[in-house]
Amino acid sequence: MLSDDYAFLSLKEQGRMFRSGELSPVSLVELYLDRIDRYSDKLKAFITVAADSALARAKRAEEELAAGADLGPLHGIPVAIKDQMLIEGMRVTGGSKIYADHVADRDATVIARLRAAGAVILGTLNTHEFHMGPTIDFPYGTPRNPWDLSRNPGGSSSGSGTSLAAGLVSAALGGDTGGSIRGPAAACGIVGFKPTWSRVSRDGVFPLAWTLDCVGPMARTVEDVAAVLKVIAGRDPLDPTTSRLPVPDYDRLVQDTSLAGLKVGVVKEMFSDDITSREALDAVQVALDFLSAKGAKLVDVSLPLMRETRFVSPGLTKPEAAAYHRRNLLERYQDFDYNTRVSSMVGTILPAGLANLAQRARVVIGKQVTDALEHVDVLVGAGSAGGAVPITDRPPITTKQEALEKIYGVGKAAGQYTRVFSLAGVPAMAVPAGFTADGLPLSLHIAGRLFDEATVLRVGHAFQLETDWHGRQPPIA
Amino acid sequence: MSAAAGADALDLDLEQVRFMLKQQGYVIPEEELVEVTASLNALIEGLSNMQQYGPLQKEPWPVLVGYVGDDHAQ
Repeated sequence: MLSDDYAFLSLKEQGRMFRSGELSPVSLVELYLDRIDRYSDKLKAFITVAADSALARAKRAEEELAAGADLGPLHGIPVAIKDQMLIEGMRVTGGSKIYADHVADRDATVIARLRAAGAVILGTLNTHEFHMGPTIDFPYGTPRNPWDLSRNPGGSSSGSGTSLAAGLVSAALGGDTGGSIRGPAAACGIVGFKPTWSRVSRDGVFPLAWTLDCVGPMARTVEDVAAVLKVIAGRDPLDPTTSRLPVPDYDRLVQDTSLAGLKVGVVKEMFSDDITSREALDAVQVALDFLSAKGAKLVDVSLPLMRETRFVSPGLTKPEAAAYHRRNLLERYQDFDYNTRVSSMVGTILPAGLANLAQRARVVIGKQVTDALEHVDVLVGAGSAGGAVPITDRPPITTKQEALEKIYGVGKAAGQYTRVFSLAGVPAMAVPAGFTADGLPLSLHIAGRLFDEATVLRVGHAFQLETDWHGRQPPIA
Repeated sequence: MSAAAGADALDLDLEQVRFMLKQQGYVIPEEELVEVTASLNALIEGLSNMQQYGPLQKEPWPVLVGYVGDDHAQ
């Protein structure tokens, strides 16, 4: 068996080794399968592991590469998928008992594109039920943070964050509606990218909130994320919401790490110490100092309605999700997780006038973001309030005051920093930016203009070239 | 009326929420009804507070083609 160190290499490096003969797709898949087996009880990162089909595809990849039929950077690379996207022949559950026996009869477009690029689909990754959360009773096991098993790995793309941090896969796909890629990326110390809404097809993807959902890549490095994004992005006739704009060569563009003259907006509300820990603020300051030293110009920016997203986002997502799951809620109510049930009932009867107000607020809040981006190239801030939070039991809420305290409390978690960019539809990424004194990852959040994924990637990659946070391995490894 | 009292005046009670859910086809356990009611009232309060923002009173998109009025796009 290969050394475990190979499991933590970037997919770019793994691919280079495939071509030099130092590593083979089959041996890499075998290593990951061994590690998944070793750590599955502790981490619960995977829901379904497709060992046989992955090994078969890896074997074909070896033959194809040997024959010179090179499909690109993802050829032979093991990729795992948030249990949200249809994978032909594989069980896809949405993280719920409702679809425990559901086997997909086709691929989602993003899966088809990964396959066409030669990627090896390793299996499906754990998620909060129907990508909402927080789920109380995970039907497929509670996912845990590899940096501290008593800590939350973030959600809803929990397994995606966990598996990458723990060296169980080379890359992953996640889904992000209000922060579900960026939150786990921040908590697990990996890179998570939410593209511009409509940049990546959602055909064959379980929705949470149709008007906000995005599919995006997650990996240990920004370069890797760029490589995956290039494969999955682009117009899809099966998803009429996808943009017709051509897909830039992110793989090539990310290599331009010159930051001289770049205008970086520092979001005041993401830099506030009433909700962000000193450690997280210090980590972001180090990142800002780096950007400044590379010639970027720092500009103070305010997004005054940022904190209102804690009401606006649920005002949008709860009714959408409740509508989507209505039939199953009526027929199999008790098979849903408690929190999903409560959230869905709130969404079902939220007064239409207030749901509409949330829609209007979304436009205004989003415009604050896009207006700010007319004067700066990117917006940066903390990726989370601090290190990953403990996994705790949550007592039922019985009063409005308790519910408000929970909303304001969630506002202190990752969602506070991510939702506003989801409402604006802009691309945004979480990048490792350090560690707390307790050894928990800290994160930098970078957002860019609509369809300017390339600049967000360039900034993140430039930062990673000068830091080694992304190269560290959690103690579980 | 104080702001707090004003906010509480919007609160739905358990029976009202029970009725609204039943109207949608749902009859749920009492424990969940309590939490749904509390959570719903919190969200109603939070969203209702958004009405104070002036920009929300303007039409985000010009829906009346050719309309020329206060602060509306032409």
